[in-house]
Amino acid sequence: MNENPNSAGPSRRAFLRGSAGMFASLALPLRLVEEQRPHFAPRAKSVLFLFMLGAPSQLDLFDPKPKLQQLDGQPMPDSLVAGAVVDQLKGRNLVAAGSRFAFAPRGQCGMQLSELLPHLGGHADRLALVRSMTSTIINHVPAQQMLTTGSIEAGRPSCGSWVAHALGSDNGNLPAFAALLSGGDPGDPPPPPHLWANGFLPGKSSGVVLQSGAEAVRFLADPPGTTRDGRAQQLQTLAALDRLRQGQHGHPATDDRIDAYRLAFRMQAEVPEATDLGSESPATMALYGAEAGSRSFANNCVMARRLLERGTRFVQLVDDGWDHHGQLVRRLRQKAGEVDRPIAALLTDLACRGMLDETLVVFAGEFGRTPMNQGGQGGDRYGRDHHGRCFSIWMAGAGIRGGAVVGATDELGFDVVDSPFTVHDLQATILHLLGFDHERLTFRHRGRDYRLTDVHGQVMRAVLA
Amino acid sequence: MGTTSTIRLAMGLACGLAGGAAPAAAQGAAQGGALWSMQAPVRPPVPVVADVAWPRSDLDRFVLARLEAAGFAPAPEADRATLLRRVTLDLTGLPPTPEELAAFLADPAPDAYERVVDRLLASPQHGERMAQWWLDLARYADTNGFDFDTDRQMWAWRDWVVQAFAGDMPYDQFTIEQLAGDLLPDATLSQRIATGFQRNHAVTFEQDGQPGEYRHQYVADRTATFGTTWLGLSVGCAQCHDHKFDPISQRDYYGLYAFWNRMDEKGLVARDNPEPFLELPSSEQGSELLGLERQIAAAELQLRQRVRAQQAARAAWLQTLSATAVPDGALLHASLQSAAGDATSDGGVIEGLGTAGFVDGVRGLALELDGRDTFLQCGQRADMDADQAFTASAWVRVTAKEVTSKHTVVAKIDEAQDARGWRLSVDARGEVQVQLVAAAEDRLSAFTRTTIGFDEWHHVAFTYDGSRRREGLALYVDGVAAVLGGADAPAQEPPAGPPAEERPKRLVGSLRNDGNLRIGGVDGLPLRGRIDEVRLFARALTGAELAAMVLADFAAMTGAERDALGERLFVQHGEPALAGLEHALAALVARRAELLEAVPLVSVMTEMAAPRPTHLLRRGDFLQPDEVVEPAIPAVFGALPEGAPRNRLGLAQWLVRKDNPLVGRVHVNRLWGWVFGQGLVATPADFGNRGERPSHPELLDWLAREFVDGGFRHRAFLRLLVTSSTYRQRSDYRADLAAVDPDNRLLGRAGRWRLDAEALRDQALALGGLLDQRVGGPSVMPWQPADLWPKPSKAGDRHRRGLYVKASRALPFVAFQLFGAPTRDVCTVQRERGATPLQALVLFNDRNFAEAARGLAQRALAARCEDPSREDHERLERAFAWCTQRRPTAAECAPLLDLLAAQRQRYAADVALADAAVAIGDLAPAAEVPTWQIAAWTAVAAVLLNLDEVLVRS
Repeated sequence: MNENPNSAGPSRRAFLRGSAGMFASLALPLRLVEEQRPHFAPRAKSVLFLFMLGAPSQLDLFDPKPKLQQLDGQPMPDSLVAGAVVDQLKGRNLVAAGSRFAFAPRGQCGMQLSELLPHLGGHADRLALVRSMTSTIINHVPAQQMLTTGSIEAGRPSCGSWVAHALGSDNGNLPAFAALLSGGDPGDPPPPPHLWANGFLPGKSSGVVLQSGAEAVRFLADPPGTTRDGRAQQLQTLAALDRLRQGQHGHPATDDRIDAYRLAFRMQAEVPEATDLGSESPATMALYGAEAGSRSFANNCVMARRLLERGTRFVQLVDDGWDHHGQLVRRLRQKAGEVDRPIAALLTDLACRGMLDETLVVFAGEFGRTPMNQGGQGGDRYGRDHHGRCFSIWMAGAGIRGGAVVGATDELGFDVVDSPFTVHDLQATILHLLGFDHERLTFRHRGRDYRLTDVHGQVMRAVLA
Repeated sequence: MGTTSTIRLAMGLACGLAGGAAPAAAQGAAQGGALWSMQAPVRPPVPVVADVAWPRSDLDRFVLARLEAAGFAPAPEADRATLLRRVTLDLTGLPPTPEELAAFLADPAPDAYERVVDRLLASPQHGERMAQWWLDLARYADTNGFDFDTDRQMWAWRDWVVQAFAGDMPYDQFTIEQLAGDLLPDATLSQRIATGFQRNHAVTFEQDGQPGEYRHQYVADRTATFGTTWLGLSVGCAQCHDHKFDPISQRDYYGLYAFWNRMDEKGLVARDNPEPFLELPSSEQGSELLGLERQIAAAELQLRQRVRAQQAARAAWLQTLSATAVPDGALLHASLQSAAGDATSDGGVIEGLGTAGFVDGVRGLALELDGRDTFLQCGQRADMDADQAFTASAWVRVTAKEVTSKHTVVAKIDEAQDARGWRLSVDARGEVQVQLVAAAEDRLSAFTRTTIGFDEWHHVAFTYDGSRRREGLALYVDGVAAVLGGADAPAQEPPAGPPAEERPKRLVGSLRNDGNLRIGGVDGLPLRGRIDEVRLFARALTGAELAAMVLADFAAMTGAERDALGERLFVQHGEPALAGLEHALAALVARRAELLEAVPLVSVMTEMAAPRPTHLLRRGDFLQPDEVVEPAIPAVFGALPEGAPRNRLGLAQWLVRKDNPLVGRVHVNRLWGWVFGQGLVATPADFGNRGERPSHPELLDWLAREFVDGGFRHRAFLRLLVTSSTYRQRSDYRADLAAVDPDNRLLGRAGRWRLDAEALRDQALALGGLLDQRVGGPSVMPWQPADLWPKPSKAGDRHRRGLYVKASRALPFVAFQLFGAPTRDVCTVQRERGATPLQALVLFNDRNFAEAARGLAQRALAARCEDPSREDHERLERAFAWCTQRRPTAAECAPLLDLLAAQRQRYAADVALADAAVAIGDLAPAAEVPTWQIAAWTAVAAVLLNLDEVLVRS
């Protein structure tokens, strides 16, 4: 909440800068939002969720399979694949596809990571890599909904909204839950809003899409011809009139509206500051591979750090373009190249600033990809289909056992053979690290107490420090 | 959590007031017999009240009895102006006009208010207002949702709802027509359109999706929406297991599911309207279509007769053709005799895991592909650029099989670079298309207005002259130049594209790319069928050269299909008179295609002649079908009566029986909530064990009986509600009541809440003098940030009511979303009404609202003043009264006049600033008024439009 001593400083300074301190009433503290209490002592203060939309190939990034390499181009063993539900590969010959990328042990822990992730490999000892995620869903949209909301039904709140609702923001002038978008081909529709929607939770907990610059938030900028002073004066007049009228009707809800206008005014100063990468040092920008002004995953990583620093509770980066049915070699190389350095830089940066200890970082796609080839062995058709049976995610930061490799898949990467975990387990773990029992964090809607984890989920103890 | 506990507290209070009975939420042991809402409502005795003067009807007696029992008196009646604002907003979603206010204030008749209510209920705006509510339940949208969120047309259904409410269609008929209008005897067009209700859910055409899983989701959505809307039950909870709290077993669930599982539909749909759909031509379109059909039939007949008469001539002509008349200098010629080397002058490799083979073609063998992402990859060749003239041609024989994607004939593109390059393809309908792509927004394309037939050989080609202009593209079918359609391929581009003149006329970038030349497919767009003689030329061939090539290839052809192709080629090339007939026919067909594209569609329900069986799905998993379940209502309600049809019609008729325990209660509770702010049952979507008990159980039953026994009439029922003493109370906060009844469940005052998203915008447009009150028609796109809607509707369509603003699931109208408008992904019963800072940003900064403020300012400036010395004061009073329906007090005027003075000073000193302020929006600045004056008044008007009093209904 806005009374947090860590954030009150920067926000007030930002406000005073923005309005030259002329309009004192707009700077008055806002009334306290209702108190939220975690169920037990939290390990993490905030969450950074890196969502690779389209499902990156775990077999080429995180889960090396020498046996698959040997079988490359040959039929998958019947004993493994008989009766399996696959997607586009339905009814075709299932041919093994070895990875075209080399793996090597990284860090003290010797975690095997792909050559496509050279920078991330430098953080191997910070990562808990889970190779045994499993899901029954193999269509994108329902699986994406499952990962973010815990259900394939539309209309459920996303994880970030649950967290924002439960914990609010440490900075009343910024949204508690921010979504930063990148990737995808030009002309493609943007990632769908239900990935950060509040569902049936109060609107305050909705993810707010932030971009860089003056229009970081929708309608943030005053319209042409309106000055900051002019707007301040309008708001003072408005508040005065609302108060006069409130004296007659007496409704306390009018206070909420007056507060909302004041907060909006402050956001207009604070948000552009928080999202302006221009104040980052060239060294920092170079570390991330970011360029001010462009819309990139790297820029979003810098912005994510700035938001986390300022008290945003849940930052969700959504990077589109990971659905590699064909041309996998070239396209995966390109995508991995886009995210590897910025993610590594972000981990470094958070660690240097002492923030990694209180920030949980999660990297995930909605499912995995098949060990079977979807096209030819050589050129354009080489690719992998959707695969729910196993996929890999990693976590780092607050409360995470660095260097851990959790769970295992069979020698061809078709099925999980050790410690299967579901998306609900991941969600239970995120809430756990924030100090919440996922079974007790509920919201009554349409006569039912809803949970992020539906009726499932167990905390993944193996990843905890 | 704070919020949850608050809600629980409120529920406890409500139950306490109701007489102390705890909610019967016995887990898992829910018995229908024990649940109040499962018993048909009985008209209760009307209670006796102490204050006999206050009630205007029995409704008021029920309310007053509860208030008196709790020791409270009702609030006094609101003043006339407040009442007029309240009832006008509630019944029409718009504020009253100054004239309406003046008339009402001046009307001395005792029934002045009742006549206002009758006027409002009879207005077209009332139909729109009711429809706005219904659309949330129906999860109405103008796009398909899911990944691609392409456009669909369901507005004809939306207009049906507006008309149904405007015409006071009784709720029983309203129910039957929407759920089963198509099954009524001699169903009218309107009744079939009504069934669009259950086609409003999201659908997808995700190419790499599991169709079965998606179709199951659609049926489940219809089942859940049905349960929430009519039964007020969360039947969806029983999808995987028996309902934990309500008497709905998993079997019951699949019994209901079965009603919605009998339509011939697909899990993966076309890009626009999911099938089945109706075409809705206007009468002009209809008669032109009829005329065209007749002309086409006649032309075809004439052509056939002429062809038959010239059999001998044909045979002779075919003899004259030589197999060698092929233009020289092909850049590449794949004769497709085998995958690589030998007779294929330019070979390649087969890629993909589908099957590829070589079968009889036009010249020798042809490549046959099974449409499963397999193609011939020919390496880095034919990397043409936009300044080069070139030609691509091939013979294709596309297999007639329903697919939604395109058949790629030959292409040199790179998917990883915005699909840059060039591509020749045949779409699912048989239109031949060419695309030259430099970047996502930098492209040229053309398609044929006519279609090629399936399962027969055709020669397709495009030529390009290197001019970077669309005019430089030509398409040829069988060696004849084709009539081209619009500037972009219709199936690929959203129909709401920009008008042609806004499109870039010139290709700017380069076509060169790193992709391979591919024959018969690119990633995800494979050809299903045969392909032969692919040729590329580094120049634009002439029509004559292409015709010669076609005839030469034909001359080399042997085999069974030679005759059919020979007949077609003779018509086109052998006999000028026939070619003329053929050309005229093609023009007619092209015109028909163009017309059909403009005909509106609406997706509707149909019933399969032999319905597919419904299985109980273990754990709700579509991969785990169990026993077969017949359509049936949940056992707790008994069974459909003997002789009732076991389909949607039987289901709908059962719903509207007078003894149905839920349908009447659920709907009157919703109507009550619409005008009183919350239902008597505060969980309008849940009348089950976990829902809240009614605050006034007897009143709810009495209302349900009034509504159902009175013939399900909305208008009469709403009149009963809004003419009651309960409704007419003041809304002022009552500290005495708030302590025991913070949520006003006792109804000791009128409700006060923030207007809905659409009403806020409608009101602002109305006060700004901008509102366009045309009723119905396709949805429109007002201005919103360009990354969301880069191409809004034209200026004349931007000020329609919110009801008509395009409901886009992936790219919603943000200004509405921020005020709690649902994304329409699922059936929504209640919207959130909280205040957030993002709302404040919309109301001050969104161009639509900024424009409305200027409109209001210009109205004020145009007002004639009686006392020039008090000009500012008079104008302010008027503008204030338009917004609030009352005169401002002196204390209110003072800060506003101060603001006006300060803003004037600011803008007079900086005219450029003023000019910028008045340039926002479509509205022209008032002539003869200095811009600093308009800008200063606009700043004041924006404050008026943001007054708490204006944003709420009270």
